[in-house]
Amino acid sequence: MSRMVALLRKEALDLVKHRMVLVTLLLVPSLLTLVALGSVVPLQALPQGEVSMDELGPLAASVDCTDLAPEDCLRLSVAAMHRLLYLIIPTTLPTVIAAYSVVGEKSERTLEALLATPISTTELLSAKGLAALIPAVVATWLAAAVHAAGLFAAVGPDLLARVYTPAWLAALVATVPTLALASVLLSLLVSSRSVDPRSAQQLGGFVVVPIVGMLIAQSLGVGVLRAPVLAALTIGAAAIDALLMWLCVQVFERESILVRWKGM
Amino acid sequence: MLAIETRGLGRSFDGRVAVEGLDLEVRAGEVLGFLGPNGAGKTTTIRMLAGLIAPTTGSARVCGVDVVAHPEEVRRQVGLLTETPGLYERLSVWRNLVLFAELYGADDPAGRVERWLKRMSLWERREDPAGSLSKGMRQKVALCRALLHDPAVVFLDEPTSALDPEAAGTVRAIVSELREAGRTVFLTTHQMEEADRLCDRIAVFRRSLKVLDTAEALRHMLFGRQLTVALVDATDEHLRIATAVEGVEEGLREADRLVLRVDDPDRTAPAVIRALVLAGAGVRRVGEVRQPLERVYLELVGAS
Repeated sequence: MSRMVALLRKEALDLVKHRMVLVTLLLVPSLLTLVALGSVVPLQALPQGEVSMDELGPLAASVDCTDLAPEDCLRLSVAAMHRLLYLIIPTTLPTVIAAYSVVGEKSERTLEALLATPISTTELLSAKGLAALIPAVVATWLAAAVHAAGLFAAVGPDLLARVYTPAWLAALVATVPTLALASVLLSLLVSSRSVDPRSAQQLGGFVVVPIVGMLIAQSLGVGVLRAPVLAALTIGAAAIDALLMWLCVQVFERESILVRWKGM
Repeated sequence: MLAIETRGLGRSFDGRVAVEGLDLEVRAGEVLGFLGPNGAGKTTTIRMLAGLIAPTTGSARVCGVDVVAHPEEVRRQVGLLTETPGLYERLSVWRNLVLFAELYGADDPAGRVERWLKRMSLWERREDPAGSLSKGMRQKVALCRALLHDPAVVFLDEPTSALDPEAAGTVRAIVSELREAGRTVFLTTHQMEEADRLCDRIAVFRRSLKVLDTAEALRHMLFGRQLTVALVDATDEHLRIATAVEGVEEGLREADRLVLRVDDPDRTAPAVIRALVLAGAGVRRVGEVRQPLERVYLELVGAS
């Protein structure tokens, strides 16, 4: 445990000093939050009577517009759709960190000294995984908090309450970490078998594919951000996490990493 | 007591044999020079003995621990200086070392790091990023890292290769200290003079073990023992007189110097001097020829 904490501390310090990774970590949530808010704020200028419920079509169908004026329903549906960006952030951010965590050690030739210590494979992977998971989840939560504050200022508390529903808050607490963990583990899995950080990053990014699918579905009015769907997503991600965790420990061979390292 | 013991140790990579049939016994407190050309399998051997990779044949015990059955325990007991320093370049020297002291589970990590940094004259640079250090300084930090946890066996893979003479001297002094402290040192180097000076025994290795003995014994095995006698105006007659002395096996004259192959220089030298002086030769100097280890090594590697 103390070895894992020591390595986790090192990963955190290294992350803070790794400008490229740090910039990505700050830039991605900031940009997506800007997109999310930027799509709602201009709708405030929409005059009353400009749109009708019929015109909203599938957009209105994806959210609960009961007792809302068509303009507010439009605002709500756009804001609600952009919530999915906060499921994309935790699937993309960890890949940047995790992909570098093993391959980066290889390319910087630090891995042999690390593997020469008594640290176990489980401790090593746990530290690497948490080092990628924690910043990604925290960055997502902070970005979501900024989004909520921005919505509060732009559309007021009533619409905010319809966007940040209890189901969505639960998703932020439960779905975000499970998705992020899947992304971390997939990246670790790939990076422990790869010699190139980019391929590890690209393959790790596959986790984002179902979320993009959900985004498309939501825009078509399917309403995927309802509690049962989010619960299913969380449970599914958790099951995938368990499988990936098992695979990571199986696949991570200290020896082959050292030996294949020669070819770099 | 044996610090390292291998029996038929071997390792192949995709059918290519890197190390084969290595039988080795290294005593506790011994400094063993493990010499061989590049690509001879030295690093592979070290990795097997340090519990990093498993052998494909044979067995090995380090500090009495089986490297295959308990690699984690082996790693706890050994220190490894890798071929490249492999430091976390964005982290300070201090953080690099504290991390490894913690990973090795050493008590008082900060105290140990301070002690070693001062010993290596790196204390003033402790807050600098490791990436800002010179090649030699990085090597010294990597050496600190290998020794922080007081390992019983230390594997040093070319420890002085990047160092200036002063820093190399510091490293050699540390190796001597390690021996005095009863640590076992497994040293690979291409610096023959260094190996000659530091090592109790020399192993010449090229995929398999060629020879293992003291440097002196290897010299005697290859070149026998030789006396050199410097004379004032040496002649062939002086050579004839010298080679007639009992204990001199053969000889040759190189300008004003006689080179004599003898069985026991301590016993033969006085008789040779006496015979030459009686014959009117002016003896300027007498000494035993000591072949450089490099010549011994090249003979052995060439022969293999």
